Amino acid sequence: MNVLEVKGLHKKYGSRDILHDVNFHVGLHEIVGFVGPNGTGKSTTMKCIAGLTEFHQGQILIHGHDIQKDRIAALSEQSSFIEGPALYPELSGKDNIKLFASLRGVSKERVQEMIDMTKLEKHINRKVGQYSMGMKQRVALAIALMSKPKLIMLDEPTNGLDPSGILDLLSMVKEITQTEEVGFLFSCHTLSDVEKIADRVIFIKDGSMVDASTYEQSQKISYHVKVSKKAHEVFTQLGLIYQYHDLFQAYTVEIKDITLDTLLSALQDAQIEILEITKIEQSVETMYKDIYHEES
Amino acid sequence: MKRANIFAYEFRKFVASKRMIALFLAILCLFGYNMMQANQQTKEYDRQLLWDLRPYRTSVSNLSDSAVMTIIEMERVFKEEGIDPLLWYQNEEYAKVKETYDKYNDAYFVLDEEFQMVFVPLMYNYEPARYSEKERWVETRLKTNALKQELFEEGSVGTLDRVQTELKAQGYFYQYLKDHQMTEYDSPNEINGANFLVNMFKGYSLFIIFCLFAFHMVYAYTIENDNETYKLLMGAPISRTRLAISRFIFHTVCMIVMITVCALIGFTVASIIGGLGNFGYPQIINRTEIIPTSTYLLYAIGTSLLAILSFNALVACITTLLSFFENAMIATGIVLVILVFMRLLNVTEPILYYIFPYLFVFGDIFIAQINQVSILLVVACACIHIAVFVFANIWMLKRKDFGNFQVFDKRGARV
Repeated sequence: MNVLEVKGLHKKYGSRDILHDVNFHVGLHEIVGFVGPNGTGKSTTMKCIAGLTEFHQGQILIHGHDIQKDRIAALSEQSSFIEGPALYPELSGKDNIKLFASLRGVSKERVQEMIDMTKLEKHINRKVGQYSMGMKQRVALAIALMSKPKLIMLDEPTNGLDPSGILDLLSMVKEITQTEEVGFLFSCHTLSDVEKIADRVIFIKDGSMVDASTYEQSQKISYHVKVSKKAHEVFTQLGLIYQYHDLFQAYTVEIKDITLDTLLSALQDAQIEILEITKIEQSVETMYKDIYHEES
Repeated sequence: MKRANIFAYEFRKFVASKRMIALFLAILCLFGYNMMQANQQTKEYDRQLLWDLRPYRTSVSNLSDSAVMTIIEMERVFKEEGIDPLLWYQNEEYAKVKETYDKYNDAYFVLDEEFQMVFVPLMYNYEPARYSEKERWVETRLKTNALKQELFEEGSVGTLDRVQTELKAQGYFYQYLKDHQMTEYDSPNEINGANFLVNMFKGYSLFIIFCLFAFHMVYAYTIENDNETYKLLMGAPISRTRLAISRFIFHTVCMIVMITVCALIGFTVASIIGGLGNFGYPQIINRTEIIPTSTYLLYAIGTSLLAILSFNALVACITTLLSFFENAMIATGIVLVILVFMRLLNVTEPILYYIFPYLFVFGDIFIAQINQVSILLVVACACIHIAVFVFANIWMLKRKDFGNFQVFDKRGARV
């Protein structure tokens, strides 16, 4: 079952369209990377899902509960920190956790479990105002997890973290996804982080989703091919873009309009033995560049 | 999973931030100041009582401090000489009293248009440098007022309408004392429990406490937006109606409990110092009505509760509408200024009571003019007012879009 389904989401501020026909889903035990430049509508989408802002058309289902028709049930299945951890700076980490526990009716045992999870030990009684960003993120994550939600939304959670903080957070999220009944919607500007953690990445551009499946299909798929002898002619005949690496005696071939089978049989017909073939994965960064910089 | 507890949330927020301690200390401090003032306030009672009872009645507001001190001093003199002041106030006893009174030849009787009785020497006690002028001044005043004194002793001065009306009122008061077998000395110039409570409602400390709480509420409501914790609060599985009502109830109850606890502490201390006091002592309200202290306290507590509820409901609306601390604080400050200035400018048109019952409620408490006849009107007005603001707040919070913090967008949040 999907923990989140967003269908045909539309939102305006005045006459300005902020979101236009946004559709995606997040499955259980899945981390979905939510990527897009600033101002494309990521946070607004998350705010719609968190019930903080209205939307004008569409449907948001959180673990099967419609946020408009069954708001309380829907919100009880989600937790979020949007645009950084929101905590009371004058309260301690422990007080912050207890405070939000009372809003969600969380048991004392679970609160203690979450306090232990933060691994802040002696710092937990210090005021949050004195915490580093990494410590705040830990407390915020504990608060988000406390009520055992089915969906957790993290909006730019790595902002302001040092490299070890980022690694800590990512491994924590990864571990939680495996151990708890939860799905993550994870928005981040550091694409390598998204790549490390996300099972799937969705892109938003000018308030609309980029259809990832269509996009992937239409994209060039590259293979690293090591062959027994030069195969320039075959690739040229097939109309493929290729690059020959002398040092490795291998080709990098981009396949766009033909299938891999066609390539293989063409090589076979030319009696060229394939020594090794590896698919070159499309990186999020490459996709991001293609999507957002294709106009420029 | 347990049900979300908004009271616990607000309480933790309030306690953990230490604001509760700060407010508690502020209230105690104000009530302590109130108690220090109790002695002076009690003298005010006696002044009022004395003044209301004397045939040479004048407007209290025209009396200088020195005159008040003089009257108090005169009371002491009468007491030491074993003279019943009530008898002294009767015209037929005047000559007898004056004879004793003349023994204190440093006391002179001066009449004036604005006030008819001042004991001159004590005026000079505050200005010893001018003491050499005393004799000449007194002589001059006596000469210029000789005719007035004569007229006064004939009772001609007392025939003025204002004086007649007041004498009538004072007659009731005098009767009240007689009926209850009381004398004016039932209100000693000392701190006691009853005086503390009355002073608490008559003084301005309660108004300052209301202001403190108003600003506390502004902070408590808007801090969510300033800290961005609204994302967690509004994203929690709680209906906004419940949130608005719970927060309103919490802050109101919290305010009432804190004031009550501090008042009880003050009352206990005052009672230890000077005893419980007399709860049957007459309080003059609305210039013509006389009610026992206990009834006065009931009215005062009732109107204070209404005032707290009305004010909290208004502040909740302001904060929902304006979202952020500075804006809401300025707006609340403006409302307070309007309230005070409307009162100062004597804007007391009845229609305004309906529109702005704070005028009525606060006015009644702080000017001690609780009107028995219109008490139901006050209650009705305040209740309507509270209901309107509470529902307005719920409506606005339900509509509020936390994306742009607007309530009056073309289309509100559908929550």
